[in-house]
Amino acid sequence: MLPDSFTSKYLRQIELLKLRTRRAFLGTRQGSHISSKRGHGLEFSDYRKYEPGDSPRHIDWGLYARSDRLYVKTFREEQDLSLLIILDISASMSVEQIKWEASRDLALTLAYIALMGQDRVCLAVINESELQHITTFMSGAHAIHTFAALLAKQPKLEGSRLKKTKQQAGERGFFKAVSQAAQRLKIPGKAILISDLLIAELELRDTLDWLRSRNLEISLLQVLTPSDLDPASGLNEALFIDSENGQEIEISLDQAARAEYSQIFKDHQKQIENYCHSASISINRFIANDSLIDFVLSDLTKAGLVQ
Amino acid sequence: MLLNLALTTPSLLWLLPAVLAGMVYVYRMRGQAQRVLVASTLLLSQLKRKSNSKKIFVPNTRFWFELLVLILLLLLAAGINYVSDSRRLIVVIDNSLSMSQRDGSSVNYLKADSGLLLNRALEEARSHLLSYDPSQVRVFALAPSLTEITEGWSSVARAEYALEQIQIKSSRDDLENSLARLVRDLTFNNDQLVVFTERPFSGALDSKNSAVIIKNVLGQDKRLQNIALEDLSLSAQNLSVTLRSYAQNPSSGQLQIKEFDGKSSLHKFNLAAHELKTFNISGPFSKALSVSLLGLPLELNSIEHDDLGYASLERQSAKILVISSLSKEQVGLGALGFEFEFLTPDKIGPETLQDSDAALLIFHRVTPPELPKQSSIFILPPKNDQLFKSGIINDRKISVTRYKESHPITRYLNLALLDLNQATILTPPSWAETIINTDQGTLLLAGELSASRYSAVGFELFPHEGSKNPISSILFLNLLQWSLERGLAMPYELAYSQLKLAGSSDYILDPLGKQIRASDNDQPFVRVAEPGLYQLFSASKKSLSSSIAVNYFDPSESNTLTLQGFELPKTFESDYVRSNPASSDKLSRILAILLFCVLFFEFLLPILTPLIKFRLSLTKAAEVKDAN
Repeated sequence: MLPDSFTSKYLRQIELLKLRTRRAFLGTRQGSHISSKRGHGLEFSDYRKYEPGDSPRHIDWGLYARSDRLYVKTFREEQDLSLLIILDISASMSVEQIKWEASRDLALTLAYIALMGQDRVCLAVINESELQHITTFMSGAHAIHTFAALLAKQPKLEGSRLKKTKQQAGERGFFKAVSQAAQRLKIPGKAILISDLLIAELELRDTLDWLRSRNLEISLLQVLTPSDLDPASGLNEALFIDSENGQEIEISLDQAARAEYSQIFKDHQKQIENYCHSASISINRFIANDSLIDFVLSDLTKAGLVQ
Repeated sequence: MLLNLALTTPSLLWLLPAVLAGMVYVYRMRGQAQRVLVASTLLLSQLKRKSNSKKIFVPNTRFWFELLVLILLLLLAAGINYVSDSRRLIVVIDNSLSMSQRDGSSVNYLKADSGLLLNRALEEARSHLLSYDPSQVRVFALAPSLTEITEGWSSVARAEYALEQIQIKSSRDDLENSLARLVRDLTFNNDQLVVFTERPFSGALDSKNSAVIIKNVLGQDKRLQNIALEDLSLSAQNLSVTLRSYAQNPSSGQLQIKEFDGKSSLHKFNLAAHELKTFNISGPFSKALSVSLLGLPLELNSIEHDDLGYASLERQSAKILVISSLSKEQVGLGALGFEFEFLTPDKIGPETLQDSDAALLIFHRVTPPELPKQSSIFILPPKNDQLFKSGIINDRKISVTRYKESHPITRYLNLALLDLNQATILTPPSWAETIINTDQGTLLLAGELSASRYSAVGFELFPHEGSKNPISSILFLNLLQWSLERGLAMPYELAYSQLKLAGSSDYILDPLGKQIRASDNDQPFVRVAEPGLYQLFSASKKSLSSSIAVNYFDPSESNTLTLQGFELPKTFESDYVRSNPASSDKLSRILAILLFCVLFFEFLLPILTPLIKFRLSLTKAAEVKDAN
């Protein structure tokens, strides 16, 4: 069952959208994306000399009249797109309900758009250091219900997860989980990573490099909440507990400290964005309490993720 | 107000810095800050590294609340109490016979000090009143029993006046019991009890605790010498005078005998140091006389009051009613020379006892439903009687564990030789004290109630076998003597004994000629307190019928060489501590309520703070709106 936010109006609005890629990928079957495979299609690709057996329908008779040679026109075949949605449901993503719901809705929205476009959708749910679920559907709007059922329950924060040590936290769990998910993808395509990206920049870079090495076109959707931007708002002193490794940090949050934090956050974002820019990775930030439809219709369209 | 607070255990306040340090440590360790679960501390840890590592400890509201709770708990544990500003003083003057010692060696003529210890005690008491400057004073005299001279808490002026009223009484002091009673009146920390006595204090007073002060007016180690008249025996032809020397040196003097008819004679005597000697003087003598010691130097005879004795041939005959199922012959009391009347238990009733003119009742193996008015001896009360709730032990051999050597009932007795196979164990009533105690319980008890003396014995004393059974014979005679307040052959009554009047209109003239009548409660008995020759007036005969000699002979008071020491009652500490919490209880209750309120506010704090902040923000928003 789809979440309550997926009203019929919302679905009508998003089913008009289509996923966009900057590159052409080989598909497995006929679809709506122009692939690198030459064959039947609408979009002209090239000319080649006529060879016996070619369909006379593809002979360019005008060119024959001008050059007295037989050439046939080749077209780029329209095939489906292989979409990998990697949804991070680690403790940092499920510590706040709005963050979890926003991530879930974003993943389902993209999956629905892809399914409606006859694309092949693979939903990988990663939980800290492991790949928790991976489900692939070729097409069909009905498959969205399966995805919705998969993401029906918000992951619970377990006490043991809070007691993880720093050493465990430094095991590059995010990289491992994402690489496991990407390995399951047989055909190159588009990968959309939905996460808060509150991980070390080096680990994120390694993860994205690994995805790039799999010949995937990567898009990052960063889901944040207001508390990620301004932690413990209203408190002058707080003992912060890391939801993933239980690390405790006590900080006085006066005005100067908040300004300092804001700067650190900006630097972190900047580093990620710089890297993404150099690696041709699109990145979009979604604040959890903003309107999802606005984000999809406006931000993602502008970013060229959907059209 | 704060200055008036005191602590029972002030040393506990040293824990306060430790508590404060502990609180700060715990807050720094645990973090006073609110715990916030965040997605990641990745960026916050960078902030932490960049910000100053040593942050200033700024306690929050909860810290102050918790510190206040701990301080209140500490104050409660330290026993905080309110100290009254008023300084109250209880003055106790020992005016027993021993205080009539005259210390000739240290007479201070400037202070008009005649050397009499009582005068010295009174003078020191007045000095203490001036130096201590109490707001309220009570004055007590120890003899003949603890008596308050002032009427409750009085002013210093009234106390000084009361001190002037105190005179030597021919009686023994009861210092230990009196102190036990008086310390209960010490209510506030500033209260003080001062005892002026010549008896040495054998305990140790805490120098920090000035609640009780013992002032020895003689000097702790100083001893005076004394010669005392200890006994008189008079017949028509002979007078026996027993003298005892409490002196370190031999002494000599004269016995002056003044007869009732005016005749007087002097007889020389010599006494060695510490000697007890009886002098026999041949008569004939008239019906009453007085004997006094003359010619003794002051340094050998510090007490004058025990130098005078009286004797009379006209003794009141003591009739004794024996209630027993045994006959007079079976009981064997005929040889004692008293007038015994026998009644079987079935013939007695409340009226029989009330109408009896007997001075003493002896109940043998029977007890009345309630105590009779006359002095009584109860021998072997039946099992589970109402008066002593006695229980009979037949089989086990009973051994005496403790007995009061100083009590007249146990005089001349060696109770270690007492061998009993059958006895009745008694439960002492409130008015009685245990005289002989065994491993099974009380065997003999005695006490005084409403001017009568009662004793109960848990083993058989009858038949009276005289010298064949010395322990029970002596014990029985001691019981008779203590109960009747008179010796068997003494020509005098002891001071504070009761004399029986034949009729309600009869009275007694004291040595000063003052009439003494029996009070309604004590009918037909009157108590004679001071030594002297008393005259009994019979209304029926309309004449002075007989003269009665009254003496106070007490070796323990006359013995100036070995003064009996005393200690503070063992219950002193508990009594004093118990009396103080009256003020601290009230304060503790206030502190406990305050503690509860603080805890309640601490509980409400997290609820109220957001509400208050919300209200403030609304007010601020309204102000901004108005300004625009």
